Amino acid sequence: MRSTRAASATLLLAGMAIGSAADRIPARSATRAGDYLVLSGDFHVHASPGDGALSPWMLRAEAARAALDVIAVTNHNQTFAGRLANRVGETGDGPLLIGGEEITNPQYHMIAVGIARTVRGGEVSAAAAIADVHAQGGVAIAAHPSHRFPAYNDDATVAMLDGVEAAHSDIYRDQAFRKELAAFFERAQRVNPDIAAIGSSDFHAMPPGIGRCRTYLFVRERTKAGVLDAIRRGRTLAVDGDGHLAGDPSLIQLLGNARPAGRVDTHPAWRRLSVAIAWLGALGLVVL
Amino acid sequence: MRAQATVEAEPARDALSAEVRIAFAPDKTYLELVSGHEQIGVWRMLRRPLIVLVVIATAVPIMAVQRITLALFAFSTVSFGFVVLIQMVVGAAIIASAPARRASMPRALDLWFAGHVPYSFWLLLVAAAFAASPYASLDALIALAVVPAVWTAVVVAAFCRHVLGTSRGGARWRATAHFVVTWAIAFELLALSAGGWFQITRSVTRFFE
Repeated sequence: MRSTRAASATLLLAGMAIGSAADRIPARSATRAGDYLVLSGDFHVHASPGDGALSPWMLRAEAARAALDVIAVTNHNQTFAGRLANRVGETGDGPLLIGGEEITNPQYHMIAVGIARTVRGGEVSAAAAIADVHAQGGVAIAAHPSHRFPAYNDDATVAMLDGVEAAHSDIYRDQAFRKELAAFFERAQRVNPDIAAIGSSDFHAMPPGIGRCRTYLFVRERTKAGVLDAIRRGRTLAVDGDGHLAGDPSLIQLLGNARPAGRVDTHPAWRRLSVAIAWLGALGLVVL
Repeated sequence: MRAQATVEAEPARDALSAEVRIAFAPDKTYLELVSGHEQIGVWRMLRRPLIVLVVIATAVPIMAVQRITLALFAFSTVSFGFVVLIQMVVGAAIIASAPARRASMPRALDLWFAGHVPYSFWLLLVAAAFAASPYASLDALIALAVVPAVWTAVVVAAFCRHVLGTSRGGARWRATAHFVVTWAIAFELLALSAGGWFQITRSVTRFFE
């Protein structure tokens, strides 16, 4: 091997070693509001294998870095990664992992959280999909509802939903979409006053990262059942990346200033240095 | 042994790698590289595909979470190994289609992967953009993929002419076939993972709205 290539490989390894050494997950304390424990969740995350870049166990570590207590793995029209997430979630400490699916149909996208059997998104109506999700003990959330998804024009379908994404990472790419989400959430609340406000990242493989938009859940217990119960009863608030809240005003009042902590970058300088060194190493392997 | 020594000596003449020289002067460099009649071993054949895999496995975590660790690198290597495998199969098919080729199959595959620079540069650029700012324009970066796609077609055509010994017409259809097959596989995988082809057409429509 050429010496310049060996040096590049060494640089790459050094970058990864520094990145590994600097990778610390901060400890967090629980946040309480009234009788409830307040959890931070992201219920729209894609994983590998499938349409995400990170495996469920890596997403779990990433969720911890992002100060999330719970995430749902929801790949498009498949539950394999979700079932894997359930298995991973049963081991060790860390954020709760709940398996699910993003049921994907030209007429609608729907997040199903807490299901194990795939709902064939291409083959069923939105109402039938919601019924299937409920039959499996899961909750159904309208994913990034907009004019592109006409199934949600039907009030009867909206009334069946457990939740609706009122904050979504795409609002930072498209101001019109931000307004559409707000308008849809208002309409959904009129149709179904207990509908849960959900904030999601829809993380696949590119920024903004997991938990950029998130959900505060007011739970009785820090378990999967507790989380699903909070969504079913609408005890949630959607939070966008700037901290704006959407949802039941009484919950916003109850929360007051007791907001759960957000993402903490423990060693930003080391993280950036490791990325720069590794990147230069990879470039060196190509160029030298 | 003498032949192997010839191959090893080739890149040392230049400060830049043979891959970079191929990217910027494909005809001249492929002619140079194919002139030696060497037999190469498995390691030599896999070296360049492995470099491609290393670039992918480095770029993906930087893009996704703006960090790189040994675990993230290892996982990405396993997860995205299929990309290199697909290129290896496509490359082998194109090489096998040229009976008059001027290099053995392993050496031809090695030289095939030497044309990876356009896509490697693009991947590293996207990773750098997201490392610098999580708000980098994803649409613009994806649109930029046109550059390596076209650039690679030029490199593949040169590869076909000089390594496979095809005519200009033969090189053109093989480069076109490679372009079509690569992007068809990419879009098919994308459609499969995104829930259906309607997702792709919707994204394309949105892009032009």
